[in-house]
Parts: sequence; structure tokens; C-alpha cells
Amino acid sequence: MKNYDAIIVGGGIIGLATGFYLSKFGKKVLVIEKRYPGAGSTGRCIGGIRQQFSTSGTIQLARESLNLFKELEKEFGFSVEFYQGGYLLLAHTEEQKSIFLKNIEIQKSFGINVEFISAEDIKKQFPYVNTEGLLGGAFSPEDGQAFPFLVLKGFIKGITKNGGEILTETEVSSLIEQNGKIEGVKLSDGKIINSEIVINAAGPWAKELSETVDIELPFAPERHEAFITVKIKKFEPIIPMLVDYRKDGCYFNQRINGQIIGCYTPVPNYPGKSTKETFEFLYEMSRRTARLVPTLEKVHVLRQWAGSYTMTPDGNPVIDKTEIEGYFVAGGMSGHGFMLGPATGKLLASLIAEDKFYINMSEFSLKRKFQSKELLK
Amino acid sequence: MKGNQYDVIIVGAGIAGLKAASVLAKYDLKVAIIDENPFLGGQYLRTLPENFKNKLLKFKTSVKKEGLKLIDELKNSTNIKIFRNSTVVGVYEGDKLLFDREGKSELIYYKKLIISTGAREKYLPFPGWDLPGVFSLGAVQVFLKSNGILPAEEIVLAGTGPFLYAVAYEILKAGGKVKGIYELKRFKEQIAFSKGLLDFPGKLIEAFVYLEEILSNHVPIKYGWRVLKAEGDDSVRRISVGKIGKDGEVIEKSIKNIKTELLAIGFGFVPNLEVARSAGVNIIYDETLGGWIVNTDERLMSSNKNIYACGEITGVGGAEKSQIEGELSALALLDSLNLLDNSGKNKIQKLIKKRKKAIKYSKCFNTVFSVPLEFYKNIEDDTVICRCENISMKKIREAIEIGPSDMNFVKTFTRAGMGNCQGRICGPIIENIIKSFEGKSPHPPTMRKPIKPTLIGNLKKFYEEEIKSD
Ligand SMILES: Cc1cc2nc3c(=O)[nH]c(=O)nc-3n(C[C@H](O)[C@H](O)[C@H](O)COP(=O)(O)OP(=O)(O)OC[C@H]3O[C@@H](n4cnc5c(N)ncnc54)[C@H](O)[C@@H]3O)c2cc1C
Ligand SMILES: Cc1cc2nc3c(=O)[nH]c(=O)nc-3n(C[C@H](O)[C@H](O)[C@H](O)COP(=O)(O)OP(=O)(O)OC[C@H]3O[C@@H](n4cnc5c(N)ncnc54)[C@H](O)[C@@H]3O)c2cc1C
Repeated sequence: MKNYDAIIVGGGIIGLATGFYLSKFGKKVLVIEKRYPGAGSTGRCIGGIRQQFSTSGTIQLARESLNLFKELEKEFGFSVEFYQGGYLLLAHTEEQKSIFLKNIEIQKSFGINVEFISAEDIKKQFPYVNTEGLLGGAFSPEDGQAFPFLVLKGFIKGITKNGGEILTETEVSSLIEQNGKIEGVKLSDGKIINSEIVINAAGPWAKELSETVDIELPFAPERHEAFITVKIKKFEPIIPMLVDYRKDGCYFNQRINGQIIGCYTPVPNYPGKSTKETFEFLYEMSRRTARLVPTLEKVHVLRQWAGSYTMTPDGNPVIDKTEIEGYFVAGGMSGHGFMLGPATGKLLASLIAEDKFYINMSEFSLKRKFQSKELLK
Repeated sequence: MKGNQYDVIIVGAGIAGLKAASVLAKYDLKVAIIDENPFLGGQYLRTLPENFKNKLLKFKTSVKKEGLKLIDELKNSTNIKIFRNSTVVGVYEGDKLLFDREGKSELIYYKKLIISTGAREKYLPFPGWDLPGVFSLGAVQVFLKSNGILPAEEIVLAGTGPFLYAVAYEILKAGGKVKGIYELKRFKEQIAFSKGLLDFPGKLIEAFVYLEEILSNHVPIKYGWRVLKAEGDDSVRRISVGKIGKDGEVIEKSIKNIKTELLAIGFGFVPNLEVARSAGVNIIYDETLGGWIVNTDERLMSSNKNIYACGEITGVGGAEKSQIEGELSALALLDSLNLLDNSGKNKIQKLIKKRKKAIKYSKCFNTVFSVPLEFYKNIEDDTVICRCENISMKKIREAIEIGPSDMNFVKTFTRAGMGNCQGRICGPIIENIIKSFEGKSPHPPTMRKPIKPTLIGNLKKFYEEEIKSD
């Protein structure tokens, strides 16, 4: 029987990033994934990366993550298609504008390069945007994108290179706890694998997994749909992530290979783990996209799909240890798990390997009150 | 019933769909048949331009004759609405079917759906298979039949299966020259197939007609030979072929180069499951029936009781099987609506028996003309597998070594199949490569809509339409 320093349940961005940074601490890790890496939310996300958040904790975590994204190419030896084309958050109401102005103040105090720009300036800088009814927008040129599958690929190769293992098509049926300490996991074929450290990074399934050791997680998955178009000529400048906060808004950007990729937050929300795509999304997303950038009318949708946002009551993740010694959780990543993934993994790895976080992570503790609300979904 | 609502919608107007439509036309039902081609008839009946008609259709099989008659009947039928040039891009919840026609998107509704979307060609990659001048056999046929011209003066044909002879026959009849036919399988291996033919005299006659033309033109046919590579700067100029030894390896000293500007290849067919999968019906894997096929009961009802499947998508088997199944699916559907009298019910029983025979033959056929898996395993590292994204064998192999035998993983890890054709060409190749390494058939890739890219500008109008209909 092999000995693992840590077992990670879940081969999404969180599990693989955690595994990768733990393996860099010299730990022997085992990642267990029930299907294949990326089969959960990560393979369905649209790859957006931003630092424009509204609280000190999220801003710092996002900033750390952005810095890690910048280094991935060097770390992996291949590009993850990381590109800083910016995020432009659009204000169509005075209320939205004042929220942005407040957030910008906080963001700037952490040294983030972000400005509120007027509708006229948006027209000048991004001439393809329809500025009708627009009051302006918050723009950070540091935000951007990366290709999720390449990021996963780098983590997978890194883990194996550092002596770790990844078990695919293998499902964990329960966690094993004895006298307040974690002992390992039980697989659905009955096999048991022991380790003193177990990390729950099971994304939309994390809550059920945690219930097997009676640790309650405030996670609730919701369906989110997305679409991607065929490759088209790159816009000048490339379309930044345009985030339309109207009730029937949406967000999309242009990938560096030319494709337009985007989604919207359904109102009302659609609770549950369903990943069935709908006709309504297809035409609604088309309408909303063409409303923001009218020339996109002439572009063909290549495919549509659905995935899960794993929500928490305040919209922020849980990255923490638990009452059971050796049992850690990183989840409830909402719509930011990809962008926060590298930092989440690295911070959790440092908590496990060195018993401390190197930035303040109290906003993500499991015992917090879940009262405030992340304003920038 | 509103204008865009139908009792039955048939997707695919090949032999199977046409036959189903002709049965339904006799009942008081509102029926639509949709096909992406400008003509009815599918792969087998591909209608011909005037200048070619006389030459090529001199010889008609009985299935062809009946098919052509059905097309005429259908054109005059008032019960059946025909949508040509109409590509189904998705079947959605609420029995909705979205299709694109002449640059516009349209939505129609069904109570029952018959899917008969046929099959497409399969490939075995070799260095240079992506060069201009390497055609699929089907593409040569389209050139001949739809454009009415020969794509080149001299053509070399290679691959496996009787489709090689059908296309050779057509090239010869059109006045072209066939420089050689290279069939992967040894002559001995094909005996099982010829025995199976005895059950289908029509096919036997067809085979003789083709062979006679080929032999009387002194076209060399080599059995147990394969193409090794195609070369040329901007287009094919020469190819190498070699004889396959007992160990499955090509015999070094048999290798020879042939000058040609057109190589046509064909390695069999795989079912077009996109429409069926977009409707969410269950599929199963049966290597002897072409790989992944729609799972139906013996009356061709799918896992969804309102959806029937017929023709190549329930198992690759050729025109006769499609004809039998088209009729069977329509009758079974009518029976489910209590519209059949006793003679109709008896007919169902007869067709179920006939279908069993056709399936038996198909299994034998697909087994005899299957490409050995080692050929997939031994594809050279730099050979391109996914042409849209330019992904080589090396990358595919790496993904297989790291991950599970799941097509989705290989796709996401390498990006193969993510391009504009969405894996229609490379999907079945990768499936075979994975199988050749892992010894089992992989999980099929998740099917994503739209089936073919569709315009944002067209889709947005459904916002108003759907709001109105609420
Ligand atoms: C449409 C859409 C767009 C998005 N866009 C963005 C974006 O632009 N930027 C961004 O940052 N985020 C985005 N997100 C959110 C992001 O995808 C998620 O927050 C993130 O992927 C979560 O990663 P994870 O590792 O926690 O979960 P997952 O990726 O879901 O990984 C969990 C893994 O655990 C496995 N698993 C579960 N249970 C078990 C078990 N019992 N045994 C073994 N394995 C198990 C699952 O198979 C899965 O692979 C988007 C999400 C969606 C749906
Ligand atoms: C290139 C080629 C050549 C062949 N030649 C021969 C031959 O010579 N002899 C022989 O016996 N068999 C041949 N076959 C096998 C052939 O598939 C069967 O003989 C028979 O034609 C199958 O009938 P079918 O009705 O099942 O499918 P098809 O004849 O393939 O008909 C399917 C129809 O569905 C339509 N369709 C598919 N997807 C969509 C969509 N999304 N939206 C709208 N319409 C759609 C297609 O346009 C097509 O017309 C050939 C197959 C191929 C691919």
C-alpha cells in the first residue's frame, strides 16, 4: 500500500492547483477524480480572470492569482493562452455607477490599475460597443483570460512530474474519520485509501461528500449556461470581458484565438446540478450579445453548454480547515473558481504544509457569518 | 394545429426517411420531412445533373428504382411538407426542432419524431492524408454526380469495402481512368461477405455489374495492400502503397510509388448521431454495426417513446436495411397511435424478421471490412489527426497515456475535435486510436448543440416569438 501525504478529491482547477502546489512543497499527493480532469465546472467555464472585486479579501486573493497566472507559462514550459485584454464592467444605471465608484476606491487602495471611464471614452476605446443607455464603465486593463484546459494540463503534468498521482474514473463514496481525525477515503468499489490529509475539492458535489463526515458546507449549485462562436477576425482592440449588469445582461469576451465566449446569470436563478442546455439560453444570449456588440449578429454560434456555479450565501468561497483534523475544504467558488484557482491552491497548500496562510483569509473561513455579499458577480 | 406544428417530423430524406414518409402519406397526418441537401434521396439516390443522367443511371438496383419512384410520389403528396436545404441544428426540450434554411433559422414542433440521418465516411490517417488531392470516395461521388465533372483524369482508389467498386464503376462510366484499387483486406478474408450476399440478390447483381465494368477496363485490383503516404508540395503528386504481411506489417520490398494527382480513400461508414443525440436518446456501442448507434427496440422506438430511429443510425448496413427500417419505423409509429389494421400489424412482424436478416448481413459486412486496430495504434507521431486544430498523433498519444479512456478528456487535453467540424472527421479516428491502446471502446464525447454553427443574428428573433407564444 502506497503512502500519500495528502488525498485530494476532485480534479477541477481547485483540486489540481492544490495538488500541484502541495507537490511543490515536496508532498506526495493523490488526486482522485470520478470522471476526467475538467469534467465538472472547470471544463465548462469561460476562462475569465479579473481583480475587480469588492472586498479586501477577494481583491487580494484575485491579485495573488493573477500574479500566479502570469508565471504559469514559465512554470509549465508552454503557454496557457493567458492574455490581459481587460474587463469592462458596464453601468447602465446611476446605482450601478455608484457601486463601481465605491469599489474602484477600495481596489485602488490595493494598487490595482482600474478607472471609471465615460460612455464617450468607451466609444473611443472600444468602438464596437453599443453605448446606448450607457453611463460608463469600470475598466481594468490588467484583467484578462486563459484557456482552462491548458491550465489543467500544466497542473496535471506538474503533479506527475513531482511524484504525485492522478486517479481518473474513480469515485470517492465517503470520507473516513476516526476520533476527530481524518483517516482517508473510501472508493465506490469499496477500496480504502489512507492519508492523514484529505482535501475536499469536489466542486458542486462537495457538500454531499462532506456530509459523510457530518461537516455541513453552505454550498448550493446553480445552473449556468454558456456559448462559444466560431473563430472570427480579432477585433481591434480585442473585445475585453464586457459585463452587462442589467437584469437581462450577459458577459462575454473574445478569446485570443478569435472565438467569442460568454454567458449570463439567469434571473431567477436555476438551482441544482442540472447541466442541460436550453433553447432559451441560445436565443437570449444571442439577443443580449448582439445588443452590446451589434456586428456580432453576423457570427455563428459553434456550441452551447451548461455547468454549475457552486454558490455560498455571500458569494465568496470557503478555503479553510475544518473541525476534523486533517480535513480541508476549498469550494463554493461561485463564478470565480477559475480565476481564483491558482491562488486558492497555493494558499491551501501553504496552510497544509506550513500551517499558515500568507495572506489574510478570514473572509473565506468556514465559520464566518456569511452575511455580506460580493457585489461583483 | 398551428402552422409550425406537425404530427410527425422526419429528419433525413435518404432511403429510410423517404420510405417512412411514403407510409405516413397514406394517413390523415400532418407530416414534415427535412433534409439538408437540395435534393431528396440521401447518399444512395443522389440525383444527377442532366448531362450525366444517361450514362450513370443505365444501371439501377431495385432499391434505387423504388427510391426514385418514392421521390416522385412525395413531391406530389399534399400531406407531406418537404423542407429542402434545411439543416437541423438542434432538438430541444418541449419537442422543438430548430433548423437553418437558406440563411434563416426556423423552429417547428413535433408530436413524434423519426430520425434517419444516415452515415458518413470514416478515415484511417496516414502521412499526407490532409493534402489537397486526397479525396474521400464520397467526395469523388459528389463531384461526379452533383457537379457533373471528373475531379481528375486518373484516380487511385484505396481503403476497404465494396464502396471502392461502386465509385470505380462511376468514374469509369463517366469516362475517367482508375489507375488502381488497393483493398486493405486479403481476398480470403472476404469470402464470408460474399456468402452473406446470397441473402440479398439485389446486392449480388450490383456487385457483378461493378466488377464487370472494372475488369473489362483492366483496372488492377490489389487485395491486402494499403496506402502508406501521399506526397506533394501543395497537392498530391505521388503516393506509396505496400502489401501487408501476415504479421500485419507492410512488407518492405513490396513498397512502390505511384504517380497520381488524385487519391480517393474510403474506410467504411459511421452513423450520423448528432440529431439523435441532441434529442437526448440513448446510444449503445456495437463495433459490428459501425460503432455508436441509436439504441432501439425491435420496432425501432428509441429510449424516448416519441422518437424513432431508422436507417444507418441504428447500424451501418446499406440501402436495403434502410428501406426495411424506414417502413418498419413508420408502421410502428402508426401502431403506437392505434392507426393500424391487422394487415398493418402483420406487416410489422414481417419487417421485424426481414430486419433481423439485414442486421445479420450488416454485422458480417462490417466485420469483414473493418480496419485492424493496429493500423490506428501505429499511426506515426507527426501524422495530423484533427485537421481543424492541427493536432498530431503524438499529442493524442500523450493524452491517452495520462488520462482515462474518455473522448472528452482527449478532446479537452489536446483540443482535437474543438474546431469548426466539431470532431465529425477526427472523432471516430480518435475513438479507434483509444481503443487500440486501451482495448476497450471509450466513452463517446458529449454532444453539443448547435449541430452546425448557426447565426447569432437569426437566433435573437426567437426572443419575441417565444414571448408571444407564452
Ligand atoms: C458557464 C460557466 C462560466 C464560468 N465562467 C467563469 C470565469 O469566466 N471565470 C472563473 O473564474 N470562473 C468561471 N466559472 C466558475 C468556475 O468554473 C468554477 O468556479 C470552478 O471551475 C470550480 O472549480 P472546482 O475545482 O471547485 O470544481 P470542479 O471543476 O467542478 O471540480 C470538481 C471535480 O470533482 C469531481 N468529483 C466530485 N465528486 C467526486 C467524488 N465523490 N469522487 C471523485 N471525484 C469527484 C468532479 O467530477 C469534478 O471534476 C464559470 C462556471 C460556469 C458554469
Ligand atoms: C458517401 C456515401 C456513399 C454511399 N454509397 C453507397 C452505395 O453506393 N451503395 C450503398 O448500398 N450504400 C451506400 N452508402 C451507404 C448509405 O448510407 C446507405 O446505403 C443508405 O443510403 C442509407 O440510407 P439512410 O436513409 O439511412 O441515410 P442517407 O441516405 O445517408 O440519408 C440521410 C439524410 O439525412 C440528411 N441529414 C443528416 N443530418 C442532417 C441534419 N442535421 N439536418 C438535415 N438533414 C440531415 C442527409 O442530408 C441525408 O440526405 C453510402 C454512404 C455514404 C456516406
